[in-house]
Amino acid sequence: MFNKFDYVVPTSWADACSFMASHPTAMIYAGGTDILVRCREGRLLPSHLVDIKGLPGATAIAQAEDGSIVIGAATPLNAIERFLKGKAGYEALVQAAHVVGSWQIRNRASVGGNICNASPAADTAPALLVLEATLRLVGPSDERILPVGEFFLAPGKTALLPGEILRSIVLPAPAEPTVSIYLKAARTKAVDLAQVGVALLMLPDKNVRVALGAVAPVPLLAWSGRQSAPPANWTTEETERLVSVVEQMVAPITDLRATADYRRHMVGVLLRRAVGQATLLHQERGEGR
Amino acid sequence: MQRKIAFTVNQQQVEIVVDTFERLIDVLRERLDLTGTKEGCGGGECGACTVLLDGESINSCLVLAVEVDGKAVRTVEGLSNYLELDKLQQAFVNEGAIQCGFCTPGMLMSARALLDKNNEPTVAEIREAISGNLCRCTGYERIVVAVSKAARPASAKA
Ligand SMILES: Cc1cc2nc3c(=O)[nH]c(=O)nc-3n(C[C@H](O)[C@H](O)[C@H](O)COP(=O)(O)OP(=O)(O)OC[C@H]3O[C@@H](n4cnc5c(N)ncnc54)[C@H](O)[C@@H]3O)c2cc1C
Ligand code: FES
Ligand code: FES
Repeated sequence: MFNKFDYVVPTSWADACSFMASHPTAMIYAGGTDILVRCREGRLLPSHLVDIKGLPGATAIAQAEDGSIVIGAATPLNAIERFLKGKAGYEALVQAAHVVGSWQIRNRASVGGNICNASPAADTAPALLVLEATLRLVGPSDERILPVGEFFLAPGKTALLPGEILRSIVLPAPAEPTVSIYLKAARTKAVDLAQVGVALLMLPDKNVRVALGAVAPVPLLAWSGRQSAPPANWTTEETERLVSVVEQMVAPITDLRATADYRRHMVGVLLRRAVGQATLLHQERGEGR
Repeated sequence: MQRKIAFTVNQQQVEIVVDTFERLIDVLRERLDLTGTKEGCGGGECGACTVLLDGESINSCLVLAVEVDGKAVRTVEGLSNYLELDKLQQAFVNEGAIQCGFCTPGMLMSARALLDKNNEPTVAEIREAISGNLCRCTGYERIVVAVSKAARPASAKA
């Protein structure tokens, strides 16, 4: 079935890092929904799986005093959705967590595992990009904070150094009233990777961010800048300008899930739809105040 | 490499030595003779292997046996008390929600996890809870009906 890996439960983050540094063929193990599938196919042959779920804060999610939200890397997606649901501004991450795999997968699949895979199609990646998440990386000798935009280097390759582990993800408190949306195109409603993923975030001050999944070698922040009008007053021209800028950024491939042309087309379709939903949300919130 | 683990299955205490690379589904089926849990795809896609781990539905083909040390596992065998079927099982029978039956143990466990937390789910919530369970026979409609009937308090009308 699997290769004969050992299973290791470290007692501290430092312990986990030094174990990883001294065992180059060991792998961090969180929800296992990606690792075990690949082990089964013989595409991974780890010597050890190092289970981080029991480490301090690994599966905790909480709001800090400054309003930012700290998510332990091994927190399952269902727990993230439960915690963030209804919190204004974080809609994109709630929606992205919600569309991964199935209910059972989301009870196990962690946000850390989702981004450490560095799959171009990882659903939470575009949401974390527009939310400007920062990553707390712990290593054998020190730790560092990295913006999520600098984390993805190539398909399957992250900025993690040997022995380094993603400990937590920090979401800064969004300015009010921010709204964000994540939309995914896939062949089926559940249990399929994205053909295209689009995350959009609109800040109250006309600033807008758009991030894309599955249309480039890495999840991509395709646009971050000021529009000429605040979200509530967007015209069709405003939207179309944004769509054409974003479309310039994509470099999709053809694979079993979709052709490059279809992916390119769907970027515009989903972005227009996201703008529609986001402006509606803005209006609803504006009226509610 | 082997580890001794202790956990409960359907409220019975189990102590067993497992390989570190052994899957939960194999321990349940091959070692504990709990063959109600089925293996379809072995890769998280079909949900036939669904069991409850500390009350949450999970795919037992994607969980290592060593991980359940100290935890509580519930399988389809734990639903009935051998005299009477669980309300959900009876509803599946009554509503014709079973054809070949291969998906049924997993469907039941996904639905059980839902009803244990939410006794009056909407149809959307039911569909969500079984979104990771494939059925090649029934077309799902009877399953959704069965779950909603099992959910409703006996006094409420259908
Ligand atoms: C049936 C099925 C459907 C799926 N559908 C989707 C989908 O729709 N969208 C989607 O995006 N993904 C999907 N996936 C992929 C997978 O479930 C997710 O990417 C999940 O979030 C991975 O998290 P995990 O905790 O299970 O990762 P694991 O399998 O535990 O780990 C994944 C990788 O990340 C590394 N890693 C994990 N945590 C850390 C950490 N803290 N620090 C450093 N490295 C770490 C591991 O070493 C490994 O290389 C699906 C998988 C399956 C089996
Ligand atoms: S056998 Fe586990 S999901 Fe198919
Ligand atoms: S009854 Fe046959 S697969 Fe569901």
